[in-house]
Amino acid sequence: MNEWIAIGALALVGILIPLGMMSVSYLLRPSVPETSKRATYESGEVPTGGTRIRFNIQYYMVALLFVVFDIETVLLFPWAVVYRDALESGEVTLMQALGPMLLFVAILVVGLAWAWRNGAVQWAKSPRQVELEANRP
Amino acid sequence: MAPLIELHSWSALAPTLILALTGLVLFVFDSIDPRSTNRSALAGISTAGALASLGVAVWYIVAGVGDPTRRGTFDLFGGQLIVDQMALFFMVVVAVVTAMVSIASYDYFLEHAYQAEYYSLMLLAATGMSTMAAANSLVTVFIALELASLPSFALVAILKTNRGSVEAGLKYFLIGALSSAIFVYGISLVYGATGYMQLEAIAQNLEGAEGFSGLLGLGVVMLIGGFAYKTASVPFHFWAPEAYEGAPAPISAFLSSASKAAGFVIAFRVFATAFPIETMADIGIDWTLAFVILAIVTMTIGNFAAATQENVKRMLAYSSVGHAGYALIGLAGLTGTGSNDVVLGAAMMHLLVYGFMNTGAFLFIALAEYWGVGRTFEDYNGLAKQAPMASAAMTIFMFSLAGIPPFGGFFSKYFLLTGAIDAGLLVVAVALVVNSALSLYYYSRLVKALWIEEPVVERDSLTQPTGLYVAIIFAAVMTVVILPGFGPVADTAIEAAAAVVP
Amino acid sequence: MLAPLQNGDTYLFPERIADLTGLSEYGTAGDLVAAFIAAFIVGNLMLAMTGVAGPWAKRKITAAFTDRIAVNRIGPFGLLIIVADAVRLLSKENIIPENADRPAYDLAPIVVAGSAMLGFAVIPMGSGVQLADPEVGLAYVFAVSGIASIGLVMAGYASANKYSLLGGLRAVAQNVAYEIPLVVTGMSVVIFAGSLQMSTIVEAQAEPLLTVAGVAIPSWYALINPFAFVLFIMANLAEVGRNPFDIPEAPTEIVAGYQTEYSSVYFVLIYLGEFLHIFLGGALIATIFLGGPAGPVLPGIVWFIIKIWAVFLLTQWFRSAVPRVRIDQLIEIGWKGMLVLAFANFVLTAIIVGLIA
Repeated sequence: MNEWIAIGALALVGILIPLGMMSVSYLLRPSVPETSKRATYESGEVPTGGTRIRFNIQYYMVALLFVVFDIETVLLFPWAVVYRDALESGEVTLMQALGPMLLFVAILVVGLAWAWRNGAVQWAKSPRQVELEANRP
Repeated sequence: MAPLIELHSWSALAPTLILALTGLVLFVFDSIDPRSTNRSALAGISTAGALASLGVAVWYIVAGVGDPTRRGTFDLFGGQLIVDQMALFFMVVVAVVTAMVSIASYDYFLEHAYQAEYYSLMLLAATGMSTMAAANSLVTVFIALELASLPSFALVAILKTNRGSVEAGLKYFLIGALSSAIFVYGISLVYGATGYMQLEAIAQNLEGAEGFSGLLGLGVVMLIGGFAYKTASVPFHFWAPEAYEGAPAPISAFLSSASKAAGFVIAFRVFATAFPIETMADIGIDWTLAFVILAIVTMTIGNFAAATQENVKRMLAYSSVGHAGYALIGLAGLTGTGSNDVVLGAAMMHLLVYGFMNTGAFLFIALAEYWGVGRTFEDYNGLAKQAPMASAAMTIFMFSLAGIPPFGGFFSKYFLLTGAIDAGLLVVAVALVVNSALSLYYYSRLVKALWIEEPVVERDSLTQPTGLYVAIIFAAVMTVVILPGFGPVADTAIEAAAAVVP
Repeated sequence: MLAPLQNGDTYLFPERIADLTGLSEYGTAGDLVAAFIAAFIVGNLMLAMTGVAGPWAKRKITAAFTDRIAVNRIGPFGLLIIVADAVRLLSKENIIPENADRPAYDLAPIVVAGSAMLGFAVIPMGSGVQLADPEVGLAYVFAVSGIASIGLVMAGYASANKYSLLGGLRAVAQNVAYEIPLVVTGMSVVIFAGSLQMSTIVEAQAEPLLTVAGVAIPSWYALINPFAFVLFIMANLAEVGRNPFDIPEAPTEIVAGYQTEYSSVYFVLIYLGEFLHIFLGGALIATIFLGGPAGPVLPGIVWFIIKIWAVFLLTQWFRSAVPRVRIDQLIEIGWKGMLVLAFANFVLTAIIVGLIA
């Protein structure tokens, strides 16, 4: 039996259980339509303005950084799997097996160091940094 | 004589690796000293890296790396990358343009805030272009293409507060994304038809793809679309005038010379290696015909559009489209009736000469932007009186671009012409001559403005920024000097081409 | 080498069910039914554990830490509160905010709950309960559990509530920041095991590390590489959004984060999804660091449940005992601390393994 059938079956169960709970709830729950209770919650006040607000640009920076590092972890996975086998097979020396990975990580570390030093992973800026930023053309 | 140190085979990629390393060094520099405005150090590192790459590539060519009869070509990583003469030839083009642009940027980005980022992005883009020269599999072609494109988008838009620059970056990015999608879809179709990504393997398995000739044909057309984008030829040339006009002029020089050359090298290699003409003709896909049409349309559109421009930078951008059309003859002429190596070699020579004259021309625009004289032909009136040396250099570039005899541009065009006639493409040859004649009109218009016309407004005296001058004079000298030195260049190019085409 | 999608040698739970019920005689249709039955059993097992954990165990544990009594009225130890709460929550009116982005708002709870459920497919739970054992097991778990982030941002964005939006964004920022240390630390285990397949990882841990007074201590990776174990637990806490990393919900700052506007069954599903994620994290920790279902005397599945409840207890302990970090601290701990440590751990592990091998 192909095991991905079982994974697919679990996916189906994972959707059916929430749907089942929703339908049970649909049968049980009352419905009292009244517009005022559908207002969004803003600490009990009448909601002001839209909700599509501007948020901190840092969320975007972090997401970009994530894309870089996530792809890099994907590329490291196969290496980690074959590393020990490759060494035990005796066909490659330690340096040949380890070197490329170290180089790869080193390049990434340069990237991280750059992002770090340029404040990409820094949430808030100190007044001095703000001043420096303001002076840039 | 026994070599002192036997280099490992992957060191054949050294010209590319040096560029990548320089990019990383610049990142490290910026990490240690963020927001550094030490322009001398940054431009110095960048130029030194590009020159080192250039030196190694030239050394390899001279030492016979890639020459099948001497040190042999280097197939690396299971044939994913290949270092042959053609790869080295284009690595030279990329490195030399990068070096010139780096020097020129020293003055151009005087007040700019993101110095280190600028240089490292440029070096990374150059790495991508250099890798494109060596890419020998559709996967590496695509990765190298993206590595060259992604930094380019940022570079075009690097003048963050300049609306034109940001708009150009966005347009460039959108068309780039579109054509990348088309290109990668083409790759998937070719892979589907043949089952291979590696170029030689594709060529060997074309017979098996006869049942899928429609699929393969569509894939080939889509690949052409991807190349057309990178080389700024029809039908994906729209971005070129916008991006070149909006981008900072050194970047326009970089993109229109190095990036275009890199686009051509992958086109040459993919079509010459993976889709041999005879085999493809048996299947019923005659791609040379597509390139014949593209070459004619591209050079005509480029030149006609250039002739109507009032803005000098935009004129050069369209002329760059026209030159892409000339270089496409290299592929159109691979019909097998003429001498394939001569016509492909001629296109390679043209791209090398173009690397000097076009970079120089755009750097002159950079100089004009540095002075702040304006953008149109009238604004350039009478510049020769105040800056005779730069204007003389610009005159050389213009006449060389038009293909006037004493300069390098003439010879490469002459080879292209003979190659086209040899291949029996009389229509293309006629189009080449007519377009060159037309181009003389708008190139000489600028020369006339520089030397003959009187200035519209009085200008203050103009400074002489060292970096820009060095780059421009160097480009001008090379454009002239390449003529006596054309023998070895032509030999190298034709030899390199002969190694690629059967 | 095995192909990525090839069946291992393990006698998997669906096959067991097929043989037990005689469904294996009916070809593919029988396989499908058997797989569904097996998946249903596993799904409900997890659901039952969540049912115990959410309304009852969580309250009891928190109460014990704060010296209170908590639920004790209905049933023995107040256990029947589970039934009462289930009925109460399901029969609440489902109030949907007026500006909600409907399809996304409705789908988010299913995505959150379903993605957590999907991760259990490859976990070896002992006593032969393992739905599937693909070659890519560990990568699969990381991939699938990452889907929840989409659900959270959907919930946050579609609610049309400022608190929800902030909560959703925070959840994603936190998940992505700690996903990398989590995966890289997990990879340092892969170096030892030489495989991503869950059964192989568990088997590799069964070998005795050393023998003390006749008792063989197994080579659980928690003992071999305790540093990675601690890092992984830390990153996992952040992934499931529990103290000290409960920024996305942060009740004293942004009400309840992405779930502010959810009520009735939708709320139950999101809540359920969170608990499933805690258990999935526990299952992962148990599998790759604590020898999976291995243990003396008791059957495998009991040990497995003990281990994942131990991890659950740990999260609740942190919840009661540790203060919350600020959002800026959270990001900086993640990118400047955990990431660097995770890479240091990875590289050092590789070097040490290389020198020994």
